[in-house]
Amino acid sequence: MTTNSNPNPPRKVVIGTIGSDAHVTGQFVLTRAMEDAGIEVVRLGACVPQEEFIEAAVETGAHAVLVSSLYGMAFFDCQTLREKCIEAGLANILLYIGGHLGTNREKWEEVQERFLSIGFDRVYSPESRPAGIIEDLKKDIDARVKALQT
Amino acid sequence: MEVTDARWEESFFLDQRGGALKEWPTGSEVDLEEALRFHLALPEHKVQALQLARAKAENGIVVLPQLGQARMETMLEIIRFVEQECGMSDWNDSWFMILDAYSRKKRFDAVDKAISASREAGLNLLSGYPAVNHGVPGFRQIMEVSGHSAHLSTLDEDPRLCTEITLAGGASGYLAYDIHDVMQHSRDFPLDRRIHNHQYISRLAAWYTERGAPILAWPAGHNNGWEPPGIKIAMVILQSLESARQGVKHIACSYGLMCNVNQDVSALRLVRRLLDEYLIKAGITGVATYAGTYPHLGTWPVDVIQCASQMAWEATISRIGGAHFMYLKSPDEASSTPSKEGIGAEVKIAKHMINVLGSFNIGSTDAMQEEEAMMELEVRAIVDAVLNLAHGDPSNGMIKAVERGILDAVFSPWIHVKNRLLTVRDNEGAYRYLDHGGLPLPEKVLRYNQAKIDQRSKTSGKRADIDMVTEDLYHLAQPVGSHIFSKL
Repeated sequence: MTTNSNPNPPRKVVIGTIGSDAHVTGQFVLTRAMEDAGIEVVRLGACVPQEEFIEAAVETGAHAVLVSSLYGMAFFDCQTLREKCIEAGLANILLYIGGHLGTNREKWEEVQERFLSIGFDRVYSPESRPAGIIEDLKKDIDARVKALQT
Repeated sequence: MEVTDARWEESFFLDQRGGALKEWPTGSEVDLEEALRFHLALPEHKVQALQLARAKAENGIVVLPQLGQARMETMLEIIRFVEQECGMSDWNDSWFMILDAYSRKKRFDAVDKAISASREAGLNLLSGYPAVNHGVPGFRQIMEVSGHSAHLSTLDEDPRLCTEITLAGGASGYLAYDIHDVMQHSRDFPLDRRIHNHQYISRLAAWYTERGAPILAWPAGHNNGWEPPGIKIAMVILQSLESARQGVKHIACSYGLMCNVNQDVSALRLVRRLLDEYLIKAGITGVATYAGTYPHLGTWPVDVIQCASQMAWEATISRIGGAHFMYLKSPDEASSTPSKEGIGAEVKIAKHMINVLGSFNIGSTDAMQEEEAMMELEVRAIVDAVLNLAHGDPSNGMIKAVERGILDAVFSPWIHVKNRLLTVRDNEGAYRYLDHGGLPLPEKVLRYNQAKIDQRSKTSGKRADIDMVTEDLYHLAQPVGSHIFSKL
């Protein structure tokens, strides 16, 4: 007789491009890579409002929300995302963002800091590749799940 | 909405304008008769249709850097810098103004806030120039400060108000898109409404043109960078037919580069040849047509030197392919909205390559001839299939073709498209279909396509599959030292 060797539910994430951004190639690629890595993915597609990310996360019990953005205006689109997650009872959800995240020439560290300051857990540059993101994701999700169990 | 390609009656057109112009207060600044007088007074080098005609006649090439910033003063500062200090001072120069992403979705309230925030922060916080919010006086200021012509990217679902404002402001071209835009930038906008909006702006352009102010239509086959040329050329021809039906007399077809010489040169030659043929077949005469290039829309390297190299390569391909124009891209675009130094650099790179190449003509190799012959079979098969769905009506045909997967895309955000196409590069870097979905490709084309993929698999020892598709997305973006093809 077999028993369920993994007591935790599968790792689950919600992904989409936020605001008015229609560039979806990144999320197609990342979705495929995450699914290959055994992560359940709810792909929301293009031009997704904050509310829809949150609703999808609540409905599916996702561990993380992954925001993909290419058009440089994500900071406006994301400003209240963390607060709205907390209001919706998702205080512990992981928030990741990646892509072209600014419209000015500036150091990557500055861009990263700007997004960390509004509640993102991880911020990825255009040079990031799926493997590294997935490694972080597994580590972060497992740590959150473990922390909540203890 | 029942859509046909029939030309709009003037009364219907004028009636439609009332609604569009009320969508934002700056719409009231549009006075057609006054705008026409402004256009009629423009010198030749500020009119895109006349620049293109000269380029075609004299084997020249119109060069279009892209610019878009939130604040008016920054726009003007960059224009002055590039024109005065970076060599943008010839008869063949023109500006392509980029609309910001909020305006593209008609979020003009959010744009107002972003303009204020940009002023307060002393930064540019929009991804382009908010043409509707700055209104007719904004574009007139651009025309006054610049020594060149201009048009604006009025992308996405509803470009009516934006096109009204920029044409009234003195722009001498507009983007003649419909299917291209919903496939690239829309989540769920209905194609019939997008076609209606395209017909509106084409009818508007024809209104000016009929009264002596030629407005250039810019249909596109850029797609998202991963589609092979055949499907792009088919879309550009279909959209051109629609614009011409509304009375447009000057059409500049913009083709998105793949960065493979054989495919790109063949594509440019084919657009020039087939567009004229399809216009005549449709009974449309007296239209001046041009073909040129848009930068590759796949993933670019972040490193500015690598970017600059690729730009030089694109300028080279455009020139040797006989392009009548080329849009430029900034070397810093992979990490930010183009800076003035970046735009200056792109102008210098393009002009340098034009000088280097002179009147060099690459001629035609066997490989090029074979590529062009296959591409022609593909384009004809797709365009004919679309037209045959609706008795020669490109608009109605496109709607049915999308439903059947006869027009399709790679990684499109648009929920109404089948999204079945997948592509990989072959050994020489040309794009081939791994999955051609429902495209009506002739057997001969499919065999050619498959042979090219098989060669790559044989050389690399890798199966052509979704992993190869993903790997190829980064092909041109690889940091130097880890190029995929150098490892083959």
